[in-house]
Amino acid sequence: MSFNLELTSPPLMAILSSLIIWTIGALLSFVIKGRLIHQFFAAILFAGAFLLGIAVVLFFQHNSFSLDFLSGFYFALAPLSLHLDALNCFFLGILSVTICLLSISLPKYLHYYKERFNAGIYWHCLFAFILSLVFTLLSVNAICFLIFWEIMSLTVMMLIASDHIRQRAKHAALSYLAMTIISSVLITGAFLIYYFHYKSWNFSDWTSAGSLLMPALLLFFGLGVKCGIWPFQIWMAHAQSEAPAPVTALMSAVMKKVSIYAIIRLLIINNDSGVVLAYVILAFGTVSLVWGSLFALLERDLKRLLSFSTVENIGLILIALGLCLMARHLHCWDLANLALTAALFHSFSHALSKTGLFIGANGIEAVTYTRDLSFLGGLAGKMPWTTACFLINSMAIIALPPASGFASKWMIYQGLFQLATSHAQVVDRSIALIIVGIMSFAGALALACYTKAIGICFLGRSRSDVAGRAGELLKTSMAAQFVAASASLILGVCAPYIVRLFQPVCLIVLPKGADLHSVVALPLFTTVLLSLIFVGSVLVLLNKLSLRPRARLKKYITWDCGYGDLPARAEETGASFSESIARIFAPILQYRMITEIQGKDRRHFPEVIKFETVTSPLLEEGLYRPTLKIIQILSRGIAALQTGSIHLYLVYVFITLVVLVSIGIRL
Amino acid sequence: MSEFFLTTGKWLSFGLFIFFLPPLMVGVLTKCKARLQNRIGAPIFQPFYDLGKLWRKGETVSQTTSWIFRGTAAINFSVMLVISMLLPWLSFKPYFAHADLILVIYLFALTRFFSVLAALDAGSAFGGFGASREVTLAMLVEPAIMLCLASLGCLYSTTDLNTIFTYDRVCTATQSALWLLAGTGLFLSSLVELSRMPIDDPTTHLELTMIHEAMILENSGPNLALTEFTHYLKMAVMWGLSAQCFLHALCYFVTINEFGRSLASLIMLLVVLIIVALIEGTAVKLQWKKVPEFIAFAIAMSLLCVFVVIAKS
Repeated sequence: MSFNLELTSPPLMAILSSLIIWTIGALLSFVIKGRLIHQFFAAILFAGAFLLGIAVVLFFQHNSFSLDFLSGFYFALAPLSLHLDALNCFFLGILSVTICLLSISLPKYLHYYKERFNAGIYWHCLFAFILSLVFTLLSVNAICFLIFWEIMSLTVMMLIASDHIRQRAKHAALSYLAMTIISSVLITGAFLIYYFHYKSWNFSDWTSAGSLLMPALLLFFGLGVKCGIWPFQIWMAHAQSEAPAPVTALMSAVMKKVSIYAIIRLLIINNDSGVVLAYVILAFGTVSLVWGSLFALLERDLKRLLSFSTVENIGLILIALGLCLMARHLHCWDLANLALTAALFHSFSHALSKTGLFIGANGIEAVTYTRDLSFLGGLAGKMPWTTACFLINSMAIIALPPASGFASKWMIYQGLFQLATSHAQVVDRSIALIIVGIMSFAGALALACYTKAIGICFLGRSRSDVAGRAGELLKTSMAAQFVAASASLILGVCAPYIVRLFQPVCLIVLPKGADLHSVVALPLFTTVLLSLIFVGSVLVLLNKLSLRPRARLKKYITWDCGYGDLPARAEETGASFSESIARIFAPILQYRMITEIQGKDRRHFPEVIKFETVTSPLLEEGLYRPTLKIIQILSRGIAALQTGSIHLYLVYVFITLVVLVSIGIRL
Repeated sequence: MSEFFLTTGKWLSFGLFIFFLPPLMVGVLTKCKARLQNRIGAPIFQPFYDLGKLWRKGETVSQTTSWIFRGTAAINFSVMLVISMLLPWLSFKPYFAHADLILVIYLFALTRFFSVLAALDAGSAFGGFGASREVTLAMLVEPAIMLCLASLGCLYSTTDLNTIFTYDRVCTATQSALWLLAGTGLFLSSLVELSRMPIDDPTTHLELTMIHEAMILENSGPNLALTEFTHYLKMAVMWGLSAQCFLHALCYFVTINEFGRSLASLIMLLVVLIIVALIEGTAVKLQWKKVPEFIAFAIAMSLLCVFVVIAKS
């Protein structure tokens, strides 16, 4: 066994020590039991993530070099070797920030599960999951990548199933497993084709891997299953809503980004002739964007809503990546750099604000024991800080200025705009403008979705007793949300300066860099300052007015057109809020409304009025169920061979022998 | 130094327009409508009196509301002020750097975000209705506004509104046609955004059918005055923008100097107001299910804009 290690380089030391800390955590989780187990392991998790964060910062300070870690240990065909450069270091940064935030808020939430799962196994799988994430990012060759990718998938499956008392968790784990297998098959196929073409397992030898169309498409769809592009997103809604606390956020914020990393690493790097691939990525990105935001709007489960909105954001990132490929093909280096930066920036800002939102949603679940929007409401008075943070994080997700989501979305718009005015073909330019229209449409849908989430969950009156009795979250969860929210504000306002930090990453992917500072002259600084001054002065004015003796501020029940003190049941519900949009998209959402009126004279004197809205998932009913049926019918035919009769089996053995012997004689 | 005084003077006079033009426009609009119906109508300064009365009154707030409810008026007013400084809705608007069209559209979205939340905050059923309809309309109309402005931007290869809406260049026939199309698209979308006829009847008293009015049902006193003024300002800005588009379309036929342009943009605004009054005087409020069909016209206009731009270059 030979090691080729630069132990003197501080970033590598930090990364190694964080890996060691997590490994120790994983080992200890077999041994340690007790009341404070969650606090203990959360601390270990935090320590590792913090070290990793330091490593990333150190790496970018001395940037523009790469580190290799080679060992003589072989995974059958290729050595276990790791490689650190600006690209995967950036994604390690996302990982470390997310885990830091999550680990702070974790212990309180896990307490909610109490006896429902085995804490030891849970922590063991969680550490294994995170370690495999890191190793997948660092892998140099296809074999390493596949092995860690599989470990990652399996540990996630275990984690989803850890709350296995519930039937829904079992279903979620199974559907996740099925999708994982599809993904692995596609990726393995692509890797094999690449191996036969390049005669090497190393990613670095696969120059212009994206130009081979067949394996590139296989790889894209294989990775797409994992990051939940349309039509493969069906596992996400189940898995993400059933998985315990940090796993949901980790899946949404980090695991999907690992797929994005792999897409960049394998398909975008060195790819000069990937126009078809660019079209495919743009098409699937756009469909995912619309599909995700549409289905998120209809959800009544807070966590499912958030996970559908992840589909939407992945769509946005893919649009940016498709744009980058397109620009490469046209040799517009400014545009390619802009699009790639937009994709990276959006990955980061989405990870940040989604983590914040998931911490908020998990906190609500832990306090009220429900995630169903129709039982929540009126939490703003009880948990003001959580409300404010949730609000800002939602603003970041729906790209409202000045939050960070706006900066990245602005860059994507700007990129599409530049493509539309470039020397590209008519088709490409019109595609760019049409996508601009679709993005603004999906943006408005996302706004509807998050106003629904905030409005129904936090505002108005409580729709149930538990929501009425809720209190503020623990200080630690609040701190984590607060950090996420304020970081996204800072990122958004200072975007032109932060964009520069992405340059080393862009230089790895693209042959030519560009100074984006001039392109991204985001006007937010003045605008934000101006509006803040205005808001402050108006608030002061309003309060002055209400302090005057004659015109006091009176508190009274909600007026509601004079109906008086209506119960909370009369309020707008999540279903009624999204009804008017759902009606427009009824064919896609399979949305139906069933009204049932009973009584002797039903028209004039109804006794019982039953009213129900039904939606059925179009993809599951229309695509997956028929496919499953066909497979079942086929497998029934195969099952007929296996009757259980020993005589028949002996006949099989005999026939096989005869065939083999006759082949042998021929040879 | 004289440069500085000139700029300050420009901003001061523009500030007067920001604060006095919107209520005046509403007054003119109601006057026009009244004259169309053979009534004398309220004086054109009535909106000022109304706002003043509301400003002096006391305020009643629902017990269920949170800080969002009272903060919304302040936030929306401020954001709308910023928008009115960014958007070139009058030809004599002083120069304000970084007037990016994507930023402006998302600032509009920001005001919508807060007004929808404020409508849901009191927990009233009517506020919820209004909010639900508002987001639906926004979803339908957003692509139309975005594509109209984006195709104008494509024409001049920039997203900076100052550059797009500058007058110092020659206008060709195609460009003039594009300006006309974009102006029409923006005008149709503004009717939806501002919840005017035929989408929503601002003068109705049936809360069940309202959109904007239903959302601000719980506001009162100074809060309501501020919210109403913000809405007036939004009207002025959006109609001013389509008036500017029409003016640019006219540039193909006549060339006028700067002073004439300032006058012309006010006259064009008046023309737009009269068109709105005509529509409101003659059209019937559309059934809610028919509204998407109306918005389809706006979207069709914006798609035509896209076609013209792509085909031209």
